[in-house]
Amino acid sequence: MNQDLISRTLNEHATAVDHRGPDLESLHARVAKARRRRHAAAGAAAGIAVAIAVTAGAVVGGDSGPEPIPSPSPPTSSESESPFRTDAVEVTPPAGARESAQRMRLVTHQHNEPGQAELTFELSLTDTYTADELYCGGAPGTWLVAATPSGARASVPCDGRASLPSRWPTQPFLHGTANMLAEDETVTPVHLFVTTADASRGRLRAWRAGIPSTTNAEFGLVIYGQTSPTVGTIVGFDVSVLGEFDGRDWWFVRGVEAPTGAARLTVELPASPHDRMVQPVVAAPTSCCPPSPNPSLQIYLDGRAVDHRFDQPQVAFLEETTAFVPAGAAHTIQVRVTEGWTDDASFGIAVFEAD
Amino acid sequence: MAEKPEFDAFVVARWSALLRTAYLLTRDEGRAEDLVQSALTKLWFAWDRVEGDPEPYVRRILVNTHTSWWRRRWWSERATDRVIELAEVDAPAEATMDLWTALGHLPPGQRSVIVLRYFDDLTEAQTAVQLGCSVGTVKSQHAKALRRLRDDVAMVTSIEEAPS
Repeated sequence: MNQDLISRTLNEHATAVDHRGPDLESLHARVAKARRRRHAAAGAAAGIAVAIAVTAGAVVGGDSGPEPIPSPSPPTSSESESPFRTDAVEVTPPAGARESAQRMRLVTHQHNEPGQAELTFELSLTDTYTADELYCGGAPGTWLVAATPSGARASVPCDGRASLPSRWPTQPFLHGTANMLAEDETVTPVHLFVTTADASRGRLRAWRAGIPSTTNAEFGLVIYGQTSPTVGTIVGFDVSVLGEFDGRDWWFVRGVEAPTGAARLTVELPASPHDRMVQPVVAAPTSCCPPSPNPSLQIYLDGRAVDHRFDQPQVAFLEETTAFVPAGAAHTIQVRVTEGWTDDASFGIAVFEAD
Repeated sequence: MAEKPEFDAFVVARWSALLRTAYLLTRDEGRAEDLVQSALTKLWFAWDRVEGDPEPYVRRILVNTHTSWWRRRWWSERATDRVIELAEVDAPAEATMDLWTALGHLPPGQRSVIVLRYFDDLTEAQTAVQLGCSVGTVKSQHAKALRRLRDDVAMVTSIEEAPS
């Protein structure tokens, strides 16, 4: 093993950004915006009532036992740090939350004209984006790339036939986690282009160099939006009351946060006439202190590890497997911290049920 | 923002170094700059609480923020399991490029360890402090990263055949 080669490679590539000097003006603007956001979030938190209840005995978290938390906690925004928890915390939506839920709607569908290899368009930043679908087809050996001014990008191969997404896309259950468009401050204009370069590797510059003058590809971007109330917070993530997946409505019914630093969380799900989905949630650290590196989680249903490659529904959200719990008997869900960062683990689960 | 002139001076002095590390983590110039600005924005709010050298503090924010972004990569760079073909590594320059590609396939935690150890020249203990984890975790992540590179077909060629 020649580890010098690793050092040399890193040093060679690090010089790619040497021409970029500090942009204090932009940084100051960003700080000012963050200050306004924090101020606004503090005001909003004071005006929102979120019910946080405790179910003693139903939750066993790690080594700490099922001690209840006696007092409700104020909601936290997705930018705030998760508080230190000595016991598991249960989160339930307030009564009547479902009544104000709205379904997902089509925000925009941008697509190319025949032969057109590039498409640039502005997005209205006043819209709420909750899901997006990029599609391309009709030009084997080429790729479609979507890029925003901030550097965010996505790509899909243009093999096969072009077709719009055949079904309603997965609705992210947790706000602000699955769609960078919703958080990308410099999302617009979006640049869609076909390239002959392999967009699964390499860099944006190389991809742009491969844009053909014309193409047989048919491509586009579909963006969906939904305004559904936030009904709780799980380890810092705001939870929407309504999600849509696989053609079904899924309602948030329960959340459980593991005690801080716990290695596992066990939750008993009582018998129910409804199908349920259980989504593990792991905190995304937003600051360095206290350090909270991301752990890797594994979810177990009645003692068996759930694997999204084989188990239905085949979805891995936020890199974690979502467990499907069929209607009927009671079940036991357990989430374990596996490989990776186990120090200061901050995680929990969100439980959704179908109509 | 004249209200924290020492912060501004720190940014000017350390921008390039932070940006290089950010680029090695994100592998994209635009996102690297975005990452540095994001980390510095968080530092700005903590500036008055930071004692001593703020660089370790902001570097830890940098790494953690990158890991956080990676987890939300629905609309961002996507890793691939595609195995690099041997035909692509028949010259030293291409071998280096393939190592760069393989480094990009590492998950964020392992990539962070590699960048901190081999670019920032941190010890295992220093890396553990930066990442906010134990030395044992750094060792295991380091070993896994090297094993993953080794397991890559291209890495068998480029690493083991390259001169020491």
